[in-house]
Amino acid sequence: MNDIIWNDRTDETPWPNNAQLFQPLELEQILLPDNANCLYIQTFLRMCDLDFEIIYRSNAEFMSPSGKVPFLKCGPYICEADAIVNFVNNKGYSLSKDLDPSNKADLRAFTSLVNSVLVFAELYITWCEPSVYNEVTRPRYGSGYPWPLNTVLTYKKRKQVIKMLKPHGFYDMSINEVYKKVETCCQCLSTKLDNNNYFFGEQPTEFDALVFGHVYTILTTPLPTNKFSAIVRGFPNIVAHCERIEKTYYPSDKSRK
Amino acid sequence: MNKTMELDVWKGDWGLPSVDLDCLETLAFIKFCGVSIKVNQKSNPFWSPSGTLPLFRHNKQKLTNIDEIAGHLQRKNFSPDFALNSKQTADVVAFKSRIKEQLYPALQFLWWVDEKSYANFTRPWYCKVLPFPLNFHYPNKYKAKATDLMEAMFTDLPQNDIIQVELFAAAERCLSTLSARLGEQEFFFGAHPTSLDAHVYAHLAPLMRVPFPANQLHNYARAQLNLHKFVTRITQRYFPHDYQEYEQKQKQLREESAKNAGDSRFKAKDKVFATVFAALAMIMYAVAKGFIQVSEIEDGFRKSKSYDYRDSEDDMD
Repeated sequence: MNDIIWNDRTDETPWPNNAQLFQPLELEQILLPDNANCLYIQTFLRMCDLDFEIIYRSNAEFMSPSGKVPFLKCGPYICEADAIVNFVNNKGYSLSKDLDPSNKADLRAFTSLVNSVLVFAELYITWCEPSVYNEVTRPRYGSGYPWPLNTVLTYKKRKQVIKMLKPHGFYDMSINEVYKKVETCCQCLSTKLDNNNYFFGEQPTEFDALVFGHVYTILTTPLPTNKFSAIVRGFPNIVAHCERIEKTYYPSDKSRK
Repeated sequence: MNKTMELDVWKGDWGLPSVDLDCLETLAFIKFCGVSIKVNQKSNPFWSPSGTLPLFRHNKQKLTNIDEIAGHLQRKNFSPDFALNSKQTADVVAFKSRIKEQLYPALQFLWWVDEKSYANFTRPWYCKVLPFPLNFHYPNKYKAKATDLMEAMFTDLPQNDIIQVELFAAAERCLSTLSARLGEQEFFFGAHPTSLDAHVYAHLAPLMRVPFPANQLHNYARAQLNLHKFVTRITQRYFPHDYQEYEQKQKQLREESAKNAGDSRFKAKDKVFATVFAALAMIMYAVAKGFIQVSEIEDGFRKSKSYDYRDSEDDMD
């Protein structure tokens, strides 16, 4: 009775060998929130053992049909992280199909927790914290475009992000309140993980990929203020979980160390 | 000596102690704590510092947010969550954010954004409970807030029906998640209610009890039997007064309508009686005025008979 069905449409066509994942330039352009999402999807696809090619484009955001990165070209275009995971699950590659209904419910709930705290906190730090905005976000976001386009696009994007943060109450918070929220969230994740290798059982699920994407990005992105990464570092089992996934799924990647 | 705590909330209806999500959550939370508190069904957020209800007052402190109220009560050693271990506390936080992300937008849409329910239902209700000049301001304000949320969720605002499909699909997923998590238990963490139960109750009860004009979610929520039982259980156990009052009112209404149905049968009898009476009266009139000739013929017959008789008498004479 209580089995959770995401989407009834199942797609039996096999995974194509020319799947392409588009994302912004990793070294000089990508920002913290986008990078976390891109890393999430990359890790998820690797966990599913699917072939894909990463394509870096400086205008990836404007190539994407929904304006969000990363997006996947696999026959049709699929954008946004959740939609990609859903699409892959419908193709029959699911990491969480063996979980019992109660655990599945937990998985969805914790996914929401990460999406509603870490994602908004990342957006807040990137776009609303003055030092980060001026020193990191503005130069990086505008780097792909000539003047005056870079100023206009950055301004527009900032307005859009603020509009998104406002109804969720994040825009009116002070930076310390945001840090406090992040800490509560990490505390919950840390308790949930306990001393296990992965969050739900012995095999990784999409949730492990999601947490890895965010935690790895928060830990490795250099920012003028390092309070954010310091909070995450305060939970050793989450950091260990991140290192475990990195070793297993990115064994030979020189850029990730 | 501590002063009594007071709580101003939106008025209740349809058997609920309040119709507003936050008020409902606060009320349930306080009931679960077992704190005695004076509840005013005020329905006027004008004097609240943040312009919203619930407004919690204690020793000159004014709090308007469930988290602050929970924190305040916890410092006074009242909390329904003391029995939870750290893992369960993590679950509470996770499920709350799940509801906030997936169910809350659908409810906001249902109350404020959907044109049909806003115009025919939400706005009239709020206009009725709010005092005169404020009832022009607050409904618009809440609608604007809900619209902002929709704009934040959907970057290029599509048609309302597209939003509705997406939001309701998400809400249905959330409901089945909650239903799976609750299972056959009485409350989410066994036999005692926690703050998560208050949160879930506040979001589900309006969905199940408020009669929105167009509400596909309503049926879906009611079809999740364990959730439906959960809501009924909390309403009956913790808000018996509101529940019984509403049930009695409904019963009265039903009785009245039954009486009306009896009246209408009576009226049918009346109609038959009136028709028969009118028909009789008309026939009598017609007879009196001589439009119907029955009596004359009879008279004629009798006359002729009597003539015959007389004639025969005459003959005899």
